[in-house]
Amino acid sequence: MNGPRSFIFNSTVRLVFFLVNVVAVYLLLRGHNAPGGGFIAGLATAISLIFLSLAVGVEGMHRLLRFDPVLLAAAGLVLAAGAGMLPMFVNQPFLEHFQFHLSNVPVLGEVHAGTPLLFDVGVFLVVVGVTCKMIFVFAKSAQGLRALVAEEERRYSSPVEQPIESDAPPASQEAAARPKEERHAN
Amino acid sequence: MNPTILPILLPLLTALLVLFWGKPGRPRRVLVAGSGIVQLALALWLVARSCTGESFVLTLGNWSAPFGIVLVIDPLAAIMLALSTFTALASILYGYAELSFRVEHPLRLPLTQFLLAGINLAFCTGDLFNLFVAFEIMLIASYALLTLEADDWDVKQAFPYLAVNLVGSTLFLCAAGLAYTLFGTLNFADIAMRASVMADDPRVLALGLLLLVVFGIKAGIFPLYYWLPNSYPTLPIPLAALYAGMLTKVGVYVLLRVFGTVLPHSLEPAHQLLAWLAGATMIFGVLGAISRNFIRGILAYHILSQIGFMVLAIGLFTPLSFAACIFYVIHHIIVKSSLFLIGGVGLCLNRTDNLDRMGNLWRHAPWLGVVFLCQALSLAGLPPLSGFWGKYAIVVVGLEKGAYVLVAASLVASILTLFSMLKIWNSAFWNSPDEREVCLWDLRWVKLCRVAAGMTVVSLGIGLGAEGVFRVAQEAAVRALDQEGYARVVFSRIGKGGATPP
Amino acid sequence: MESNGILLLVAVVLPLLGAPLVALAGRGLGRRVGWLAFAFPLISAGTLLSLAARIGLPGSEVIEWPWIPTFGIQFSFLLDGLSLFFALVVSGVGVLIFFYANFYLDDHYEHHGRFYCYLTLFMAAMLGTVLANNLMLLFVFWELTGLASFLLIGFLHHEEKSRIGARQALLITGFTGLLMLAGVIMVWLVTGTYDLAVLLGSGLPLAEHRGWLTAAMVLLLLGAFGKSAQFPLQFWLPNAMAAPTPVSAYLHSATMVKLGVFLCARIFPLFVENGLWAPLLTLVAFTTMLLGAVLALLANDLKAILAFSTVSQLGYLIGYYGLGPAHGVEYDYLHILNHVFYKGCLFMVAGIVIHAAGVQDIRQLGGLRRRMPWLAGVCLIAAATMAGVPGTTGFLSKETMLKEIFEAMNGHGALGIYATTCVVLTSLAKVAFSFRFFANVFLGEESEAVKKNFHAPPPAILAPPLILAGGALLLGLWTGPLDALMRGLAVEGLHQSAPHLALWHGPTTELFVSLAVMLLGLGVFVLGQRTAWRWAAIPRRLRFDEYFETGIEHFSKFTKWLTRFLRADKPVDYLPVIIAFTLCVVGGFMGYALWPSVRESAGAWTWDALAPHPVRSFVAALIALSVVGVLILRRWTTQLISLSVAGFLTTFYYVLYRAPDLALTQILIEVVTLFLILILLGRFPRSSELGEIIHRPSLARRRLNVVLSLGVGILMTTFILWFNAVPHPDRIGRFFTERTVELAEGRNAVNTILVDFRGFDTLGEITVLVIAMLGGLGLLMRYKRTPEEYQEGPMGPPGLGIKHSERREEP
Repeated sequence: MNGPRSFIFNSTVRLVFFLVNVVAVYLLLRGHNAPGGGFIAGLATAISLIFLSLAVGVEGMHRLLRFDPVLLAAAGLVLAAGAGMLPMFVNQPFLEHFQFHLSNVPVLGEVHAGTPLLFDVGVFLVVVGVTCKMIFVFAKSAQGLRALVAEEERRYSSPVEQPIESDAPPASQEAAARPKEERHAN
Repeated sequence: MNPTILPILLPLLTALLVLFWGKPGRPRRVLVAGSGIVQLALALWLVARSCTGESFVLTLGNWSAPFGIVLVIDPLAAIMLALSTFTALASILYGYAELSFRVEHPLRLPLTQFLLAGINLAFCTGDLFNLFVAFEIMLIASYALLTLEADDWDVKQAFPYLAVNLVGSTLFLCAAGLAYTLFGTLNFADIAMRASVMADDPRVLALGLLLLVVFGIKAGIFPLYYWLPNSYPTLPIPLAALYAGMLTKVGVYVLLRVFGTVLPHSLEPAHQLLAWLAGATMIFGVLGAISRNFIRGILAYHILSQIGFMVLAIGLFTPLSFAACIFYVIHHIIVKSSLFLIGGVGLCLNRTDNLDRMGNLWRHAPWLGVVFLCQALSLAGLPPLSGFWGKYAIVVVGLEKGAYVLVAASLVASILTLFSMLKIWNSAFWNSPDEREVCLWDLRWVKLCRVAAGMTVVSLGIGLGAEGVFRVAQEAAVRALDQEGYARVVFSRIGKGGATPP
Repeated sequence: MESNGILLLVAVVLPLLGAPLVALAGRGLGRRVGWLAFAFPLISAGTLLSLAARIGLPGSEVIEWPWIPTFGIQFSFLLDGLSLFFALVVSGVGVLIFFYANFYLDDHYEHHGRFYCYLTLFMAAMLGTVLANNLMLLFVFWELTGLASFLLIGFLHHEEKSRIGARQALLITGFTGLLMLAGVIMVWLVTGTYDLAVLLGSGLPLAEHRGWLTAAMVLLLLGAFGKSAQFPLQFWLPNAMAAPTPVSAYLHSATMVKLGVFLCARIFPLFVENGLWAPLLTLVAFTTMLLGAVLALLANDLKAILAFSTVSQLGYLIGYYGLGPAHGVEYDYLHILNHVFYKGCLFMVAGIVIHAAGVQDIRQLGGLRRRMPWLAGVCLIAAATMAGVPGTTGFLSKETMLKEIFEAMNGHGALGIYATTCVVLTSLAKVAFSFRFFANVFLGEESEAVKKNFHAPPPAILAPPLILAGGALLLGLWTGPLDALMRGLAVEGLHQSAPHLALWHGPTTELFVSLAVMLLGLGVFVLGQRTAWRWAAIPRRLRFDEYFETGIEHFSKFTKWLTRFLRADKPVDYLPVIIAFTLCVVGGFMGYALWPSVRESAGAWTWDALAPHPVRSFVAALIALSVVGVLILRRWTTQLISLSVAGFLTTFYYVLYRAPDLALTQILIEVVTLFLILILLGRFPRSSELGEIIHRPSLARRRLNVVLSLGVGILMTTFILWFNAVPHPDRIGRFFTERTVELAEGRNAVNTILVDFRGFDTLGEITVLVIAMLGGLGLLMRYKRTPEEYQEGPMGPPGLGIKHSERREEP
């Protein structure tokens, strides 16, 4: 997605990114009582990140994010499952939810929160991680770049496989030196 | 703590942990194997406890039965859990023996565990839509594994699997929606209670037929099996064993569950249809097997043929035939998986599993031959091996109910099975031209053979101790058919939402 | 009881468990393992003898342990005259065969351990079969004998004829065994027991369940016919000759093939009253007998002559039970014992000859009497027994048989005449080929082959045939022990009381017929010698095994064709099948269920009944239009745009139904999907780049597709209308909307359902998302085939580390 990268475009994208994320967080937090929720918020945030990638380029996104969205998604799943497992420690069924009502909290006043929110945040993270990862790798692949960086290749592919992009440069020297025959070695 | 969630949670958490771990290595392997052993032990414990006592019920989120989702582990589900965890463990160990962790695909283990979580959820759930979710988990994981290590040609072979199962999922979603319209609920127990008073409504039968098609696709009955025979052989051997053992059997399990526990027992036309389709599946499956000349292809077609036996037992629809079906499932999963593993050992030794280019195995690897012979003859149903008793019970019920044509079909399918097993035996084991090399220097085969032999010992135990296994199967069948008992257990758990009159 | 049980276990189970040990020991011991295995038949024979003594015949005893009581299957054995007779024959001949094999299988053979393992297993299975009291246990051992004989016949598995012979044997006996299983189960369904002792005691309710039990009898007899190689299944037996000679001797003289005879004897008291018993047995068995004798006369291979004569003799034995009067037969033990004597002996002689001379075509043999005079003597006695020369058991057997047949001619009419003709003709042929066997091997000039290859066998190998021939001669002359044996082992229901044998019955019809047959047979023999047996060749028309193999070949071809015919690789090929099936099954039933009400209300129906909502209908029409666009547009890009439009329009639909959560989700999903499509647009292959031509399906096929698609649409629409016509009054959805605030403390019911009421579904679905992502990542890296490899098709599973070029195969 090497779109136009004018200054105006970049600034607009950053503004949109900011606004969309604010909306997303709002949607996430109010989800229990009004339209919104983790899934919708996650999609919104993902869209904002995709917009951002239009501005900085998909390779730039990798530098910008500094972490692998896959881990974000996995963490989301852990969070959601963990939220479900919490009641098991007090001998209650899996996934039972509890609400907390705090009054007289400074600044916010009355706060209603509960484990459903935790669960919803897990959903949010999964949706963001999955959507971003998929869009980013496909975008790279579509541009003829290697979809996975060297570190990711070690994590998500067998040592005897090659990227599907026929003319992609090797991800690292090590991979380039790896002979094709190694698929057959034990 | 209620253990009902653990068969699903354990593989899920293992998968996530392994995913975070990232790169393959020995500790990761130990972790997964350890988790597999724990899962198996848990499942066996569940079998023992559920057979002797009440079924395990977990109301998720502490919502009373029809409102939330319930997980129910009755003996049938527990048996299936034990089988799935056992097969998965064997598959994992075989995979360890086959490839060193240096060339292992890093995603294979986590995806296997995800697959297992999906399969286990399908066994445990007591809710129609949750069953759909379980199928989704299972299918998406199986698509991923199917294409994970495939080359570009194999991916094309996997496409029918994807396409047909997507159609199946769509139909399932429609059926779930229609079931909600019809019964106003998705909970199995609730549906069973509500359906029993509207058994005369033709809509129940229409829904039953739609579900028959949906689960027929999953089980691979005639003419819905196109996705299976070409896609399974492209899998790596240990995964092929797991798929062959478990995936279609999830379909069989759901047929048992839906027609036994959920829908009224008076849907005679649906049962009849099942029985006749089963007859056709047996014959067409075994004919396909004879037409193949590589071991994985032969075995893949045999899955279909044997699905026919199980579905026939469901179609005959008596408590004894249900027990026969469950016994057959137990036998089949272990035997079929181990046969794939044995085929893999042969492939490792001969460097091919094309029967035209195999040979000399009986001379050089007699242990492999013994193991193969046990399992192949068990598959063909020679007494006193495990395959015989299931078939025996099915024939008994068939003769009792006067289904002579179907009994004859099952006998013909048996002898044709024997024929195709002899084809493998004669070509791969007995045929001994001097130029066929047997790579005994590739010492992996010893370990691989040990895994297969372990499964064979279990299956021999099932054959010789048929009494005990059949008792368990009978208990499972009786409990699966006892709709009121099922509902009673489910509704006895009262949580948020209060008690509801069933 | 206790000690008898232990003795029985020693006799039957010890060899069963010992067989694998023999195979293991064979690795270290080599050919000496044979002497280790020799212990098993000795022990079995000894224990069985002592058992026979302890029971106090003619009594009987049942020894039982529980096995699978649920099915009524017990580990139960019946010790009576019949079973002990067979068991003693099996173990006694086993002793001789094991002894013989120790000399026969020299160091030219490999895998001695395996050989003796199979042999021991086989003996144990045989003992189990004949001693079993439970019909299912009998079946279990019955199939085990099939398996053991399969392994034995294929012992020399590097030769193709061994493999084919073994396969034929297992397929035929396996299939007939399955039929027998069905018969056994049918008996069980009527009587509720598998217990032979009980069944024999109480008899079968033949009158009430005539048709059912007749079917059961036919199935049981088919099992017996398969095992005992009766017409038209006789062909597997000669091909089982591919095994080493001791195996042939054991299989044919004493054991495996006698199982059919045994089964007939066992069920004789149960079914003899049935009207079909006599005709079925007589026709099949005597036809087999005649055919076998003729083929034996025409065969030239030493072992083939004996094999066909076995077929013939089996017909003789089984037919005997067919004709036997309903109150019991008399001389069955004599016939069986006679066959054991001469056939076992002749096979061992043939083995020694083949071993010594290196050829087994009778035309290339001759003049061996000078080199092996003792063997010639033994062979002469055995051949004379086979021919029925007076002074041997063969003579006694033939005399009694003729006598009974003449009696039966009065009772059975046409059947009796047929049987008589067959027996006479068979005896005639038997005389001829018996003499031929002896004369062409031992008399005459020494042939070239013999001169070139001869090496003397070890003298001890002569002992087993000598014992058998001695038995034939001794008992033939001195009938006292035979009488005692038959009286002592007589079984109630099967046997008439007090048979009496004598060498000389006076000038009876039998004697004259016997004499005439002998003379005519000698005439045929002389004729054969004159013409040097040039006409002796088995005509193609009688080669049933070739029919069988051709049948198998054609069958395999048919399955290949069928699989190709049914093969479907492209979605457009297999999806219609699935959809058509759904339409037939579900739609068919729906039509059947709805048709009456549709016809009733056909006139009263108006558009108003649907009461279309104007705005919703408009949006629905737009959605339909854009879906049609997807179908008729012919470019990727426009199709995708059309699809997107449909998606966005669906959002409106949700808005119209006041479902903001759904609408929001839908629109965001559409946006993401659009991004994805835009990104991937560049990678969508043009059809030509795919390397294959996309076929435009034929017109008929497209029409079919249209019909099927419309059909599914109509099906689902009807479904929804039908089910919604009277929805369930009490839907749990109401609970969610009414009590979400109270119980889940959230006002947005959609969200509370998603995270609370049915949060587990959501957990499952986000798992699906994560898995899908991993699957997508896995797809990005793969092994790429070269174009040549791509053409090759399936190549074997990845991951084993086998070189790519090595793992090709054909589908």
